[in-house]
Amino acid sequence: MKGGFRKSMTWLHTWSSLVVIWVLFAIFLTGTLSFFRAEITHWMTPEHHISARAESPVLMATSYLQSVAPFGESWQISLPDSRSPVLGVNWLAEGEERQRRRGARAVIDPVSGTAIEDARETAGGNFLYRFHFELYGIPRSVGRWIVGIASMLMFIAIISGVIIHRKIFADFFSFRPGKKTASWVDAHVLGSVLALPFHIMITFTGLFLLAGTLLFWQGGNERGGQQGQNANRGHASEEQREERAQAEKPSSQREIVSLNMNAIYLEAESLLGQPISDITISKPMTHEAEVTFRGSEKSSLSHFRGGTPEVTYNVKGELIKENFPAGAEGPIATTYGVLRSLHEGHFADVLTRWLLFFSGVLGTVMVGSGALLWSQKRERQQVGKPGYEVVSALNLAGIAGLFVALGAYFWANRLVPAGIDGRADWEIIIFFCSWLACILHSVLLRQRHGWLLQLAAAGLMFLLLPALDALTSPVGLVAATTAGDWVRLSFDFVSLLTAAGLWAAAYFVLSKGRKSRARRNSVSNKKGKV
Amino acid sequence: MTLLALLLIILGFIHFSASTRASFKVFFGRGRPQTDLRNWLHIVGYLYLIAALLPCLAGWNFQMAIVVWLGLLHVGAVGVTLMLTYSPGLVRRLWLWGCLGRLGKPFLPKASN
Amino acid sequence: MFSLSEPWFLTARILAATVGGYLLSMVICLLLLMLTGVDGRDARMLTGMVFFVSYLVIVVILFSVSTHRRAILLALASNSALWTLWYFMGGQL
Repeated sequence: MKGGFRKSMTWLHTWSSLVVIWVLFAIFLTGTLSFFRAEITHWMTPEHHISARAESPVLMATSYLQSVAPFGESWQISLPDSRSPVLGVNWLAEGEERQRRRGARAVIDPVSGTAIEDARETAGGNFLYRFHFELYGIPRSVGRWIVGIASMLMFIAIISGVIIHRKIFADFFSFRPGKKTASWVDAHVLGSVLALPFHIMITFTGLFLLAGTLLFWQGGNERGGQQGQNANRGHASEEQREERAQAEKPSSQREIVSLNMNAIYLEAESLLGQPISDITISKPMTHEAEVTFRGSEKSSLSHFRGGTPEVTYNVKGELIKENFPAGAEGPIATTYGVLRSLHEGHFADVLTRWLLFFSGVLGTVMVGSGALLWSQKRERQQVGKPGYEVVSALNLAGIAGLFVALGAYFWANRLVPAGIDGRADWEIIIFFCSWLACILHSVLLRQRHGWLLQLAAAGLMFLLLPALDALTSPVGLVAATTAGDWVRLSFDFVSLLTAAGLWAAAYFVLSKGRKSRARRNSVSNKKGKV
Repeated sequence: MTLLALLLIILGFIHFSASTRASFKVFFGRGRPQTDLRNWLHIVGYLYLIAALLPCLAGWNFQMAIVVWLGLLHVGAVGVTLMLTYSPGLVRRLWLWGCLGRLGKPFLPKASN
Repeated sequence: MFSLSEPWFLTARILAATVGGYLLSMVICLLLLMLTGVDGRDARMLTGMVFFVSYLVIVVILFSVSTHRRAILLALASNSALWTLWYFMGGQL
């Protein structure tokens, strides 16, 4: 039976996606934001905003390190780059072994040349990043199982969706706004078909990043996808301050050897052929000192760990080591590496990152419109039935509510006082509380302008975010423009765009409500089902 | 480089959109696409998309170029769709000035209805 | 199209597709590793890539079969056949 196949695929498409669609929406949205994890963290640490664009950062960093840890085992300088425009330094105090932790850390204020103290503790982009593959507040492996199952269902839904959507080119470009179900179908099809390669890629690679959990029988590692380079852009904690205090006590005398950093820096940069993002100095201020410069870009997609080229100099400024990694070995490892970098976007420059973000937005549109399409199609027959009501309540809370929660999360970042204990947790608590409030609201008061209220609330929050940013950051927006802090400005810009989208949606809901009321007043019966 | 690639992709996708029944009349006034015309437009469209790969290759190494190209395909496709919906005039102008596929039409055999 | 008037059969079919499909693609991966002789880290990566695609294909196939009964039987038969094959080839978990 030819029709039977299509029908059963439609069934599969509908139900495999509906079961987990709100989880998928949350995963897609937070995952899309995770492409800008370091950038979001930068925005959410306003104390660091003054660090943008330091002049001669290398000298500033070394002189700071000389003052604070002259006898350290090693120093590390992370220069401002396109993702995190702050100048940060790490060091290991004398006698301290290089362990998992990076040692003490500080972000430097380019004006005074000292560390920026008491920067706020924030959950930042990391919370969104972790949420998108292991949720929150439940055991990690459970979270990963849920996300894994949801992704598998997503994978099935995508492929069955491709199967049932026969005429790919026929309505490839058609979008018919203002036509109820047809518009939703179009939005769903546009979101999915136009970015189909991305959707397949991101779902598939997401699955096998979780393979360690999902394929429990092969004793895989549980750590897939955890290591991000810029993961811990926090500030020096209490413990680390103590270490710093210890580091300042010179326990043995060393001969001070100075390096001509600037000259080596320029040479290394021309040798690497790209901007330098990281400098490591081992045994600083001794004759055995070695300086390693690491580039910011991966030379190939097939690296999934490390993979940035680096060069090392000794104290006389002679090149002693260069390492231009050649990529993973063997076809399997290469394929794996490519797929994995594609998902994590470590390779991405600014443009590619935005392209990935854009595709992610399309994916979010696909999932969201799919969820709405389900209830839209059944509106006439099933209003009042429990299944339909549950789905529409969850649609409201899962889509509009998530935006409200996100807005509240960013607001909390600026409004929760900077000094209090467990500050990062408070941000997360506020995120979930506002989400919970939206869920309650959509269960109890959905009928009365539920969509309108939540969309408008979220829209208002995102609209005012740039204003809040300007008011609560030590650096105003004008100053940020002249300093070239594009990371922060892009955040504000995207937040305005989000607000525009949410307001447009709210307007749409409002006009739809008016229309349907008008229709109810006049004689109304149109075609029953579409 | 990026803009050039994006422009080529948009022009390529306009060929595809010209071959669909829904937006055929934006370009040809009336009627519906015949098979020959549709195939011809598809071929030219694909050529445009492939041509867009060249500026990508010029700007990035091979692997990155593919990624950038695919990403731009997504952007271009969405762009063409939105333009067709909200500003068909702009699409028509692009069609007249940039789409070589249009020139092939008179040479195609007229299909009998 | 299968009718929804048989809830038990439908449940059984869903189970056959999810659990049966999981086991089936698991044994496919195990057989693949056995045949290609890949092991260690590479094996884990290869399984990660093959498993999900084969799971997907299996689920789609099992839902495209015309009746519930046939789908369930297909899942059972293919599973037992491949697991037996794997056992006689000396497979160990």
